[in-house]
Amino acid sequence: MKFADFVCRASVSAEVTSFDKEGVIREMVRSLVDGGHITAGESDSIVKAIMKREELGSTGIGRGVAVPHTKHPSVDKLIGTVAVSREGVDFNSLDGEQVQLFFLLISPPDRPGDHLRALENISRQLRNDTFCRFLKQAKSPDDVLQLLDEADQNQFGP
Amino acid sequence: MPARRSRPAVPVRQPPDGNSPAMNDQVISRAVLVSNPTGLHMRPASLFARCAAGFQSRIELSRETGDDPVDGKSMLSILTLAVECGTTIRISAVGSDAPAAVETLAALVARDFDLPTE
Repeated sequence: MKFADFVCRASVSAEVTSFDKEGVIREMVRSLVDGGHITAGESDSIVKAIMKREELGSTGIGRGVAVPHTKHPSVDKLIGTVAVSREGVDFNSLDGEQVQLFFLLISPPDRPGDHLRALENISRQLRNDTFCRFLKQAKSPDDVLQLLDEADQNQFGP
Repeated sequence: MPARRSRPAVPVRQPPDGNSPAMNDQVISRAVLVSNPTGLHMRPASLFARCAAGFQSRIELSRETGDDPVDGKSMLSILTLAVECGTTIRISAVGSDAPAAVETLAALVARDFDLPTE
């Protein structure tokens, strides 16, 4: 699976304005509402579900990256968005580092395979230091999208 | 003044330090079925990596069907396998505690990582 298969392009942000975990998650979910991928009425329930998942263990996986996610019946296919924080956000990460890169995923409850393939793609690309560094330096949504496209074309390695 | 004990003329043989080739080059490996319904997603991968990190041995994980093995102590690496429910994985370890590592990790997978049923 590639980024293009699940990242909602209009929802990508290079400038997260929140400074805490719930704020960032709320901002990213709102961007999916604004992009028309989920309805405003579902957003509270989705934010709550993602926060509940965070309580089981932070999805801040180290290297300044977090993958907040949930299953939710409001989507019929896996959707996601990417956001970058200039300052970094305390996400209770495994390595204690501030998080600058966020990959938010919402998947239908009955499609665990798609979720696994999205995680496969994200984790494979994140192992490349250049990809991570460039993404953290992104100044606009177009910068982010261009890097995701380049990653999809394996320009950062297989 | 107490008499000084003389050192033995022949050096005392060092106890095994866990680095002797005879013990350590042997790969211990076991195949185990992933049976939790959601596969090796972030939580199981993180639990596996954390458990593996508790062992001195080098630990690798692969699909039984033969992908290149990945570092079993790295959650990111485990996620790149995208292992679904019903897939058999192979856990391999090399090192002084390899048998215990493989046994413990295989049991963790077999217990569905002690995660509540979703």
